Amino acid sequence: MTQSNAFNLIVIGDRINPGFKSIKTLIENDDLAGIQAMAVKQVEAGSHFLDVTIGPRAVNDPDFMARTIRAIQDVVTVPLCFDFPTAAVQAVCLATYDRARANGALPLINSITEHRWGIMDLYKTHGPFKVIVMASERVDNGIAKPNKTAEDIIATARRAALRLQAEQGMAMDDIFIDISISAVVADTTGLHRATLDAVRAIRSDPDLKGIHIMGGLTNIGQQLPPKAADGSDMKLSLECAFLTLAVPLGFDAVLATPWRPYHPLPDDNYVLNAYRNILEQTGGNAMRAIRKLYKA
Amino acid sequence: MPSLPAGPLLREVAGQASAKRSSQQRFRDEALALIERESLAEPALSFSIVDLEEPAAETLRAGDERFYAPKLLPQSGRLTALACGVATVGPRVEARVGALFRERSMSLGLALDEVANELLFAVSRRLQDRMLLAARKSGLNLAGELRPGDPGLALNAQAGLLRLADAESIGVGLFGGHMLNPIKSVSVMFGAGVDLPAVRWSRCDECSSRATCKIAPRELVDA
Repeated sequence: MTQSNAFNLIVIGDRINPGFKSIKTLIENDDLAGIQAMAVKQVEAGSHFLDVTIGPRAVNDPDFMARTIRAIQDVVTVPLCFDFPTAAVQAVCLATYDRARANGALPLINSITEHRWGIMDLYKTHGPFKVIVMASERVDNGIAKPNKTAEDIIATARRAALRLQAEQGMAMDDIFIDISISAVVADTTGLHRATLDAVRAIRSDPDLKGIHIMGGLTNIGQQLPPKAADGSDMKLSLECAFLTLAVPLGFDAVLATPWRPYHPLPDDNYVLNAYRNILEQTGGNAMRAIRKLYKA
Repeated sequence: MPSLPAGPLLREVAGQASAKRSSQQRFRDEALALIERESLAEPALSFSIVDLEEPAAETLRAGDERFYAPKLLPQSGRLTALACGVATVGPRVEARVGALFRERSMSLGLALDEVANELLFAVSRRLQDRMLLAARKSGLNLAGELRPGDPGLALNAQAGLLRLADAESIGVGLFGGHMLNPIKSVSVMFGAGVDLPAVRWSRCDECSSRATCKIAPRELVDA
């Protein structure tokens, strides 16, 4: 089961999530041994953190949430990443997390936004911890708005990171900026181009030195056919294409299934070149470029 | 080693989405109800991790048994033990299937047989989870899965594997040859050791049904 990713990314294993049908069954059946086995498999496959979410049951049954965390920490020593939007659930997770069992490593909170900053109130009572900041939205005149340009993503990331540093004294190494990788199929407005430009700018900002830049890749190939025009696995090829371009710019962490065989694509790879072409287009031209992914 | 509560297994199988015609779904629902009403499922599992008696070679010696299984030899790390396990849903469900056929309730009999197979998969997954965790607690990891009769492990390994897994403790044995009794049972062997790398093969690789198999892709995803 042991393997390492070819990009040397920090891998946050994403499998303990009821979005996966097999895990939903484990959660519904209180099958902690099954959840433990999934934790072990992910660590043996190279996960540096394990993302943990049990869906709505975390709200209704905090005792089960706590038992799940203890069960996972009984069998693995990597730090956990708690994936819940509410402070109440995060408080249960943080109170249960045993830092000593993770060799002193801090847990990771997934996630806060400028609009959902209240979770940071836990830092004084339940901290310290690391945190994922969603840079995909910002607060504008008190209203949450999606970021659609590189400038907005960069500004949000910078503002949030410096605020965490100033208010909580957090080190940049404890901050993960999630730049949100959208589905290619819907990208007629240059979102992917903005995302990659943001990665480059955030990484080169001297005030943010040491910060992590991450994202989940599961959306990128959504609604596209299973095979690309060159016969390759469309989703995997697109994920690799993104990483091939983003990692050299400074993208260094991924929320993903750790045994997914990510690898850099050669310069003449069909999907990589089709993806590059998409990055240069908008509107109808982008639609035509996207079609080239599956029609040679 | 433990029998398992049947309730969660039944719920798991019942919750699996099916794309069956309504008549098939009706028989499936009836089969699930029959299992519950008559307590036909008696899931149980047993396993052990047995140290090798000598350094790993093409023929592996453990617990006074010998297994010719060169596929389990790792490319790196150290193979130090064999993890042998067996799981069953017990004899009652297959007896009931037989009775239904004798009563000419073929459709319900087929549905019950299919549900019993799904139950066996669910027990088998629990067996593998527990073997993985036991290995982990011993500071070992598992790599390479073989079942007697697979390319890489001869069918006549069945008796030795069952003995090492203490299959008798859960009522699993062999018919005259190498067939498991109860029929709704499985046996499995993993290599266990230190820093074993992921294997590049699957027991499904040489199966002629691989292209159309509904199980193999799922096992790859969940590996």
